[in-house]
Parts: sequence; structure tokens; C-alpha cells
Amino acid sequence: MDKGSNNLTPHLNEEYLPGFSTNVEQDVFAPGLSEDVIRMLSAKKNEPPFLLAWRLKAFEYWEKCNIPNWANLKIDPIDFQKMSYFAAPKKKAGSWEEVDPEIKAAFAKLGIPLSEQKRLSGVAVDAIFDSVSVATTYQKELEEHGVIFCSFGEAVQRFPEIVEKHLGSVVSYMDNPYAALNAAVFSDGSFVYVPKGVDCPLELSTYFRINAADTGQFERTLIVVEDDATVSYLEGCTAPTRLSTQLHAAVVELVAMDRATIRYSTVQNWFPGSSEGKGGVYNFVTKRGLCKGVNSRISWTQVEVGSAITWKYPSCILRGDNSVGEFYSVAITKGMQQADTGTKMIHLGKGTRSTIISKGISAGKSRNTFRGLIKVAPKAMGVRVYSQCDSMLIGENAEATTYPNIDVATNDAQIEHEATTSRISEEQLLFLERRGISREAAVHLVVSGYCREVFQKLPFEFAAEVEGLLSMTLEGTVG
Amino acid sequence: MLKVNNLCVQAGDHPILQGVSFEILPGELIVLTGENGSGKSTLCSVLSGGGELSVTADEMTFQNKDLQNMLSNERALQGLFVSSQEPVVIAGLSWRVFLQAALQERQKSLGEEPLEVSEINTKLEKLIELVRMPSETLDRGINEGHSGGEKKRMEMLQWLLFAPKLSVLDELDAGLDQTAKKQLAELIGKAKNSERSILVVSHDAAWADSLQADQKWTMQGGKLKKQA
Repeated sequence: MDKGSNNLTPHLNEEYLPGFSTNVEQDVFAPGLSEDVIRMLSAKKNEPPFLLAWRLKAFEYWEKCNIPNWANLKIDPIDFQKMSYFAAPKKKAGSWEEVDPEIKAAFAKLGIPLSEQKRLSGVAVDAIFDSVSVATTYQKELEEHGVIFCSFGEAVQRFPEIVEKHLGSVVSYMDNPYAALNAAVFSDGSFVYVPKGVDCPLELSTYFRINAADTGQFERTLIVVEDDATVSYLEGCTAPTRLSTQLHAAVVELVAMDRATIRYSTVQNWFPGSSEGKGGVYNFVTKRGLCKGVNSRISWTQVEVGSAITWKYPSCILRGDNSVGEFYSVAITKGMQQADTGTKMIHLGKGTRSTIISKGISAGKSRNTFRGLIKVAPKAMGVRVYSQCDSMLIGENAEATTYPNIDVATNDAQIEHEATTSRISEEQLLFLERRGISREAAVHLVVSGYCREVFQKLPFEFAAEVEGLLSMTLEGTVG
Repeated sequence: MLKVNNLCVQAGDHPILQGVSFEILPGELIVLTGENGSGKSTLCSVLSGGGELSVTADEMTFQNKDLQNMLSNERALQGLFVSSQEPVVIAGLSWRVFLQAALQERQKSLGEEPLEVSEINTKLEKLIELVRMPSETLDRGINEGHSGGEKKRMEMLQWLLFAPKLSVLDELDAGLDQTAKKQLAELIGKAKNSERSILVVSHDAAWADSLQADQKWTMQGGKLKKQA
């Protein structure tokens, strides 16, 4: 056999670079979930009564919920009583200088610049370690422009009226069981408020890190952008390599008023579990944006490479006339990973438009499902939708499924939907190899080209990071 | 440069090449013609490596190194270039990104510093003009929306860019218009020197004759015949 030929036998890559853990003294709640735990949590965070009342209603609802099983996922039952609902570094820091050096070192190792000297230019960062925010950079500079960027906990203390007005207005605690659980026990998260007419001068970025074992991370993000204002926000996520699973059930709510624009980007690289499917993060996230005002725009861009299980559908409710919703997604699964992801575009206003571009890449024995809903309400005349879902398979044992749902109640909507499934092509790889490129680099180039439409939507500062992540992720997917 | 002795290639049970032997010396220009299905393209493909064919040979060496122990990319890095007879489309991957990656890979294999991006771009702009393609092409996906002739021009560009020690031009002239064909013939004449050898495979006997080759070979039924 000619050695020049090289079979596409997938094998698994166990290298997960952010997989280290950090030793810090933690203040951790005993495992278990009850009304008392919620009262304790709320008291610890010194919350106003409206928030405790809301948490308790959510908990009451959660107790009546059954965990949904419609997703194309195999999930071992989760024992919610075995998990701890709060973990925070013991030492409380008033400023970055006072933050535990171990935590500083952990973020430095992850390449997240938090110290005053080493800030990433043009990007403000909020760093969340387990259940609490440990540092937010550039806060003062932003507040000079009237932009509020802080931890959710701080927002509850400083701007309770804005929080009360918008909390749960886009994702009700009754939306789904994980949203109910999050509402009951969420510990921290990020808060952004951009006042009328302000173009947020910096990229805002939140970095989530799960460190503690057997702890759930339930963060909540709320972004409110007033009339004629814009913001671009990016979240990044990692967790240590642990053989027990970690639950991450986040809720993200976006509100865009008249002519406001929100760009929300995610690079999700939670620990995916071992090659045999042990451990990893269960990522059950509810993300939704409300285009409340006319001509508003919400754009979701996500690059999903981590987590053992991903269950996530960033969606847009297009209520304001002529508002625009966009969803650009790359989801890469390998090993035993499972991803069930997609979007919902709910067209309520006249002349609303949406664009969906989804690229799924499955390698190893992974499962990658796209699930989409395009809904056009009876009075939403003049709607236009473009949807494109492409799946690429690497190797013989991966699975890709697409469930597009289209539900239209008007007679003038223009809806285009395209879907393709392909296998990474031997001819394409050979074409590149025959010009001196190794097989691994060739796979990277082909996949990166395949995802280009989506990568182009990411903020410039993060494009290079994603290319690096892609090459790390694809390492070892071909033999 | 290249030595092949008793090369046999089969696709399943079907023999395609039956004991092909030849040698290409440094500085030689050789023209190979033959009917469709005679095995010319199989020979080119086997030289570039990869694919599903079963290959045996008593000897197949490039610059005294055993080709059968070299992956396709290693062969290319050593200076063996085989043009694609049917270039593939790779949507979204731009020519510029691909060619930059390939050039940097070669620098690395030579143990040299990476090239400046501006230097690569200047080179690419010059070559794209030479093969008479619009410079925007560099930022389009590989062969995306290209006609047959345009694909061949981009193969010409790659050949010129890599300036290989041994060039195997597999029907690079097919699909080109008369002007481009003439240009290709001139470029082949220029490229040939004491250190670079060229094997031209073509269907067009008249065009091949115009090349003033050192040797003319024909392929017939999987066997190679050398003419005086």
C-alpha cells in the first residue's frame, strides 16, 4: 500500500489545555436544594425583597417541573440534591489588587488579561470564578460614557430598579425547567446597560470559569440597550478536567429598544469530558433576545466546541417593526460529545427580518443536532427569512441531524431555507496535502473555510483566538 | 531526479500500469502523450501520492529518496509538484489563506524563518496578473465559481509560485485558450534549467511538439514507450 494514502480514521484527543484546577479556600454551601438554601443565598448576597420573592416563585415552579426529554441527547439523570448551589472564594476582594493570587494566576494562565497593567486594549472584561465575579476591568472609563458594566450582584445593589424592570421579561422562570432552576439559584453573572444614543466604546467581555468540583454554575446575564445605542459583548467559558460532571445552567436576556443594536458572541470551550465520555460540563442554557423597539437588531454569534452536552437555542423575539434577528453558529463535536443547538426566530412585528447560518461539524462518535424554529405571527406582514444549515461529518461514526421547523401565519412572508450534509472530502484534503500541507493542517483549513461566514461575524479581537481554538479542537480528529 | 522501476498499479483487480520504468535526469524536459485511459493520469497521481490505488514498484525514488515512504505533503515539500487534472472546489477557503499556509509550511520544512505576509502578497499579486486572472480571485474560495480554463490558470499560478525541482504538468494545457497555451509553452521553456526537470503530459500532440522536449514518451495500455 502506498504510504501517501492516509485513512480518515478518527481517534480521540484528550488534550484539553484549560483543564487545570486552582486551589483557593472556598466558601461552599452544603449540597442540596431547598427553600432554605435559596433564602441563605439571597441573604448572603444582601438582596432586596423583590428578588427573593421572585426566586421563591421560580423554585416553587421548578419543583413541579419534569426535565424535558425531547432533545436528541442521551443524558444520565441528574441528582439535583447532590450538587452545591454556591461556591465562592473565601477572601472577599475590594479591588483587583486584593484578589487571591491563585485566582489571578488561573486567569493569567487562561490568557485573560485582568490586571490594570495588562489589559487587553479595547476590551473590558468581567471575570467570573465559580459563583461570583472576581474582577471587572475598565469600569470607570465605561461609566464616563454612561455605560454600566458590572457583575449581576453589583447591579442588584446599585441599580435595583433597572434589574427589577427587565429581569425575567425576556426569559420567564416558567420558560423551561432549567430557566426555573436558574431563576431560583443564580449566583452571579454580568449586567450591561447602555443609555440612549451611546455607542459603547469598548468590546465588553465576560469570562466564565467553573473551578469547584460538584458545583453548579448558574449565572444570569442581562443586557439592556436603550434607543439608538449599540453594544458588542463576548463571553468565553472554560472548566478544569474533572471526571464528575459539572452542571452549567445559565440564562441570558437581551433587550434592544428603538434602533438599538446588540451583538452577542460566545466562545464556549467547557471541558468536553474524557474520550470515554466520563465527566464534562452539562451546558443547559437559555439565551433569548427581545427586539422590543422598531428597527432594533440582535445578532447572536456562537462558536461551540466544548461541553459533554450542549442544549442551547439563542433566539430572537422580533416584536418591534422592521427589527432584525441574526444567528451565526459553529458547533464542533468530537469524542462522545453531544450538542443539540439551534435558534428560534419569532416574527411578531411588521417587516421583520432574520438570518440563520449554522455550521455543524461532527467527528469521533459525537452527535450534533441543529434544531430551528421560524415562526411568523398573523399580523407580521412583509417578513423575510434566510436560513442555511450545513452539517459536515468527519470519520464514519459521527452523527448529524437537522430539525428545521417553519410555522407561518401570513401569506406574504419570503422564507428561504437551505440545508446540506457533507462528509469532509478526501479530494479536498488531498488537494491541499499535494501542495505541502499536512493532513491535520488541511482538515483545519477546510473546516475553517467551511465556517468562514460565521467566523467573520466575530469581533476582530477574537478572530485569531478562535482560529487557535479550532486547530486545538481538530487536533487528532483524523488519523 | 526521478527513478521508477517496474511500477505496477491496480484499481481493485483491474491493472492500470503494468511495469512502467523510466528515469528523469536533472534539467530534462519530457513530453508524455497517449490515449485516454492509457494510464498517464494514474502515473501522475501515483507520483503525487494519496488515493486508494494499490501500488507496487521495485524502485520509485525522487532525489534518491523512496517516494513510497513519503506522504503527499512530504513529497511536495521536497520539491515535487504535480498539477491537478481536475482541481477541486473548497468553498470558503481563500486562495490567499491556502497559499500562505503552503508557503509557510515549506519555510518551516527548510528550517527557515516564516516569510513576511506582505512579501507573500506581493508575489501573489504579481503571479495572478501573469496568469491573467483578476486579483480579487485571491480572496475567493479555492476554485469557487471558476471555469475550467480559470482552474487551470490557478494551477499555473501554483506551479510558478512553488518553482518545484520536478514539475509534473498533467494536462495543464487542456482547457486553456490559444493565448494561454502559448504562454504556458513559453513559461515551460523558461522554467527548465540544469536543476529543474519537467514532465509534461498532454493530449495535444501539436502543442506538445512545440515544446522542444529532450525526450518524447507515449503511454499505451499501461505501458510506457520511449521514442527516439
